[in-house]
Amino acid sequence: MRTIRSHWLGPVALEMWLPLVLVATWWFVSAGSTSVYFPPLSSIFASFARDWLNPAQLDRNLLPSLQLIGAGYALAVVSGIVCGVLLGLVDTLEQATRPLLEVLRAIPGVALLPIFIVLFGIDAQMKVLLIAFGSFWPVLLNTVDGVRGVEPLLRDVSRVFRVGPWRRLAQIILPGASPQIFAGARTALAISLIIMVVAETVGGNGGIGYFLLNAQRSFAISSMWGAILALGILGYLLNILFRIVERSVLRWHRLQQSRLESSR
Amino acid sequence: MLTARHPIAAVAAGILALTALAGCAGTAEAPPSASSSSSGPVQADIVVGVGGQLSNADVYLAISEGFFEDESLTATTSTLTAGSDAVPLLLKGDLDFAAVDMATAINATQQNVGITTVATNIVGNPADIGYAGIMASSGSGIDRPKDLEGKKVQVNQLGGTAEVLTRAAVEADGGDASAVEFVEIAPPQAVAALAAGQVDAAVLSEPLVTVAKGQGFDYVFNPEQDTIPGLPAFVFVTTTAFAQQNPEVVAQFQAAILAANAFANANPDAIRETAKTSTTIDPAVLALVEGLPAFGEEPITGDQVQEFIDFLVGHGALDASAVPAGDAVVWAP
Amino acid sequence: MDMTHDDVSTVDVPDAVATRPERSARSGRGPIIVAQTGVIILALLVWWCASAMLPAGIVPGPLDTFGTLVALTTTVPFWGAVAETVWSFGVSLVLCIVIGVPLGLAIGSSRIATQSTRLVFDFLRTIPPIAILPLVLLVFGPTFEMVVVVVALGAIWPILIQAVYAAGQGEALLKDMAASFRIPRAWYVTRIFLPGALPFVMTGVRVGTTVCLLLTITAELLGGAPGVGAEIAEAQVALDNPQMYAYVMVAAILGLLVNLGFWAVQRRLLHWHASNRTGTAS
Repeated sequence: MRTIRSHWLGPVALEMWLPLVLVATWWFVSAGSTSVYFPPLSSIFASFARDWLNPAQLDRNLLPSLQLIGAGYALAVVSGIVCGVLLGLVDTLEQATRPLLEVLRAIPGVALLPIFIVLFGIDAQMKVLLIAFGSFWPVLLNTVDGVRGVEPLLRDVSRVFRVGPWRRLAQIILPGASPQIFAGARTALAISLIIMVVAETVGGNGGIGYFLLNAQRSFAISSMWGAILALGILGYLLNILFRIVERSVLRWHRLQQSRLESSR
Repeated sequence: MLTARHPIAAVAAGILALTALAGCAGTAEAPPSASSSSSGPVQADIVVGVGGQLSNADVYLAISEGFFEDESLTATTSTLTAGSDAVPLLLKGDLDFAAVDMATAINATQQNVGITTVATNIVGNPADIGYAGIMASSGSGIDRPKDLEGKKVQVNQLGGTAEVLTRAAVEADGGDASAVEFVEIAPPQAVAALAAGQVDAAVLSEPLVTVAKGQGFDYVFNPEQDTIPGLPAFVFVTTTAFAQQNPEVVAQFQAAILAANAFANANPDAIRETAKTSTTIDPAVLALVEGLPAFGEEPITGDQVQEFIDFLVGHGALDASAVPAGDAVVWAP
Repeated sequence: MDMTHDDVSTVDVPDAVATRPERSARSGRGPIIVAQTGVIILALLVWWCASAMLPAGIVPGPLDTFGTLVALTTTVPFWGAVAETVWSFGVSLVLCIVIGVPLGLAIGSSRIATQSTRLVFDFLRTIPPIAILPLVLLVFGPTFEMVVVVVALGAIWPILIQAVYAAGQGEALLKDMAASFRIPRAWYVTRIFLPGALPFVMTGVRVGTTVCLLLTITAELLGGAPGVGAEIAEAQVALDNPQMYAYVMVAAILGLLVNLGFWAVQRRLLHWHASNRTGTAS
């Protein structure tokens, strides 16, 4: 079974036909719809253009969300990796804290919103902390697994060759754990998005979550659909960005691995 | 080779399923649960959606004092945890009538959701101490509406009725409403936010007003007093389809509610009594509540709603080009 | 919402199944348990200090919360709420597995199907279920059906996409061998294809399971459908903080139990797989 790699149109068409067919079907089926909850696709697109493709609206609806998720996600990833490496390397610490971590991780982030409001207020810092708290766990746990999964042989060899601890960390352990870390970071991204939407329903500082809440309250169904579309696109774009970063970091890692192997 | 399944067929089936679902959900309407006869009162079982609040005392009284029975209606209540559940449940047919706030009824009419307003639940309370109140701590220096300038005020919804009322009150007192900073926090967290100092004042209604008082906060002023006294604040709605198919039931419901409202206004102790059994409000708090709701003793009219709409438009809460006419909101057989 | 250690990744994660290396079983058990207890006690102390320092009643202390929790377990509505949540969770999970696994395996077996659906799945999976909650809530109201729809639409993606991935993981050698020996398709599917795909499918199902539970509670909390999540929301509205915290603990405990349950199931189902064979006899 050979795919047509020489002709670029083949793979692109193969990926595009289904989405296009689905959108077209939706358009025609809903064209004359009088249902409250399923307005015609044309009016959904109109709402979308009005609310999201308009630079003035973007500033109020999208920018706050991007800021929140950027800060919260970055905080979660950095703290998750740091704590994960620590726990991954110090076995006794990991075993001792495991029951506590399992309980904390199982708390739904959404349920903590009122507690966070009380502790941290209703402004951006509370929301960033809530996003970070919820997204921290997958990064932490995956980093721990990744660090522990690094070939014990590599670790022993590096110790025999008296490779310094920091160099060992940077050049052997982190790169070895990176596939797992990236898997955890990808999950954390999805969680960040969800908590961001929920956190934005408080305080009224704009953002996609607040927009969705308002649309729901005023029964603006087309706007709700438009916001769902916008969220989907935002998530999709963030994921593509993530994949680009992942591929470039891991490619460097794979290159290094193969260089190490070939130099033996 | 393992290519027996045809993904295209599976996808087509999926699309068909999706569109079928869209079609079904769109046409789900409430089958009327009443049997109509040619003349005379119509016997019917109705389900009324309430929020378990003091403002629903008229419904509870209408059941316990027999006002519904007098109109040949057998009513049961269904308690909604969130006010926003009322409209979906009405449209689904799980409720026949529901109590919602006026702004929701206006929005629903504007969006042609299929809801119509039939009766007034509570009106703006003109008393000094009303059902709603601005609460602030005694040391905050907030003693009158004008003092809210430069302060952070909690409301349950930005651009909603609470904010508009507060703005209007500030302006009526000679202050600058644009100098007030409004923050949106849901009522359950509002008292905690007030206690933690995250806001300087909060716009609450009973029983949260009494709870806040218990925590040492002062009742500053009644936002409904000089703004919408006597105008419907909460109303009863039903689906347009139900009203069209059961006009007699609607008329009987209206009569029963009017009687219950008059009774409630004349017997404040009855309100407290029924709240003890029908709501989850702490009885200790209940005993201390000062501001009881003012129930609407007149049939709701398009003019009243129009006044409310004009008030909202005048204070920027609604866009003048995107509001229904008052008459469009109210049910007219 | 949380997903456990493994997630679907385009990077080849070697041996997608084993994530928790078996530790030395018997030796050194005692001190570990002491340490674990110590950590938990420390956490409880921190909690207690926080509750004492903050203005009264804002954060109830651990004693208060546990007391409320214990008291709740004697009431009927408590178990009713737990039952609702467990039932919603179970139904959504079964729905996701029954639809996601066969569909994913089928799609994954055909390269055309895999590539055709990739864009669609990639897009749909990134829509946070929270976004569609208001819409589903409008259609179904605060009911069990609403929860199932929201949870299923959110949790099916890890299961479905991982199943697609799993179908492509079958050793090409085995496939060719089956073809050259003209092994009947049914036999191939049940004896070679499915067992080969099962470990990978299980990874997706495990992720899906945790997602299901957390989404169930979230949907109940935000949507008001009966269950543990709704109890949390109601306790909030009634300003009953100890009760709210107690129910949050219940949610965490449920998550713990589901996780443990899943490991037990996985160990049973995949007892034959290499990752479950411990090298040293203990």
